[in-house]
Amino acid sequence: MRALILIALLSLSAGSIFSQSPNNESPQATINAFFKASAAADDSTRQAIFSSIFLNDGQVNSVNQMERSAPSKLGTWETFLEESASFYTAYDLSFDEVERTINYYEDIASVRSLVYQTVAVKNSIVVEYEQFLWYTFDLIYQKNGWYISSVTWINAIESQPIDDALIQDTIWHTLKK
Amino acid sequence: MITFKKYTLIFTSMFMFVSSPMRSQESLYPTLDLMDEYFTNSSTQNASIVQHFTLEASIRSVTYNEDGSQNITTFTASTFENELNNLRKVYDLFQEPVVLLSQGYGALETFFCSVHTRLVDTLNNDTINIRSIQSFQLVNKTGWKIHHLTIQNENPWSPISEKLWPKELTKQIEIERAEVAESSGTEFDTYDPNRVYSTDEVDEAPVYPGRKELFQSLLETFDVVTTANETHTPFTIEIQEDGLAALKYVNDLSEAQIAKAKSFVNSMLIWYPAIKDKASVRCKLIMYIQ
Repeated sequence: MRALILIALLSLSAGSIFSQSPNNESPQATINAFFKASAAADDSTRQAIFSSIFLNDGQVNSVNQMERSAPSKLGTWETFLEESASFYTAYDLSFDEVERTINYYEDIASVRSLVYQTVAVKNSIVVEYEQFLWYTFDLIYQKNGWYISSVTWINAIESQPIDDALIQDTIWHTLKK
Repeated sequence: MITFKKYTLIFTSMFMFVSSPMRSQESLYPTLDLMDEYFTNSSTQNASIVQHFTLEASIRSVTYNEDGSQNITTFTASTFENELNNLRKVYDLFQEPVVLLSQGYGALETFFCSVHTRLVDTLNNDTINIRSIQSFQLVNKTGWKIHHLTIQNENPWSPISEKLWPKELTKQIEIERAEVAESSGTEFDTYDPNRVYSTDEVDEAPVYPGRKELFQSLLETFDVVTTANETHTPFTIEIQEDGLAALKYVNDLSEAQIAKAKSFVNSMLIWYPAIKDKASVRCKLIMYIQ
């Protein structure tokens, strides 16, 4: 029977892109809520919003792009909240979204977003650093809303134009059979 | 990076690279190589796919039960491979991407792609062709790996767009699908008792008992019509072999509409079931509710 899972008890579509629910009535609303939570100084606000927009085991991953290496942190949203708490204690974060694109089909959506992040020392106007981050989200429609199943972001570096991330290639595969 | 950006290109057989000495050299398109190796191995009996995923990777498939309720199944790379192996016990499995929409930066790459999957029954060569959309997140962590994969099979009521399933590229697959359908209609084939037919596939469509006015009255009572219009939302019912009606696809309906559709179906008399090859068969009907 389990084999049937992949054979396709085909998709009797659930997901309307315009469905109802406060934080995640659409992929766009879910992404908006994500950035709102990411900028929230208060731990409980981040916790509350993340728990409402992520699947239970949703992933939060970051890639630290450097010139010669790119170490990554891969984990769940709950792990991310735990491990980033001290960072939020020291800094205020803000996110200005520059561009967002979406591909979707039925109950899945893939969203890419270019964001300008500002990190300032807590309770001061001293900007610690500013950078472009490129985000990619995978979302799934479930029950009454769109939930993030995985988000991964990467920082821009000087030697590679961030515009590269914004260009979508269309690749046709030569079918074998 | 990726010097071919902005261009549409055909990536012909990276399969060559798999066995080629060139493979050991640094590739111009390592993420495409990974995708190619993944699809090649997933189509190869006894080949493993686990090595193409990060240790923390998740694979999620979105499927639906016959009543339309949704299942989101999350796999690790190992459990996903087990799933493929279960399929391979019964079928020769072949899958390949059709069109890939790719975006990336540095050590992060995404592919949103259409995929053709073909399952050939090893006993009787019966063939199932499946179209799906799959979304990949790849990271370069000691080599490129798939970190997240979401799979959504095609909803026949909402076909995959021409952009992701271009006729020029998929003509051969469609011919195969048509040939399979045609061959199933020969005199040597009989109806499949487990299959739910559409009305144009059966010899006689289901018939509601009594006078036409009786059925018309039922439709009007529940604001249901049998032809599409802008004010009504589609749903399906199934008339089973014994003539009992069952509510099926309701996912486009609101809660209130679902409740009304349930009452509508529960109010039905027993139908004369659809007939195919001189036997009663299951048959689905599309209706529209306000």
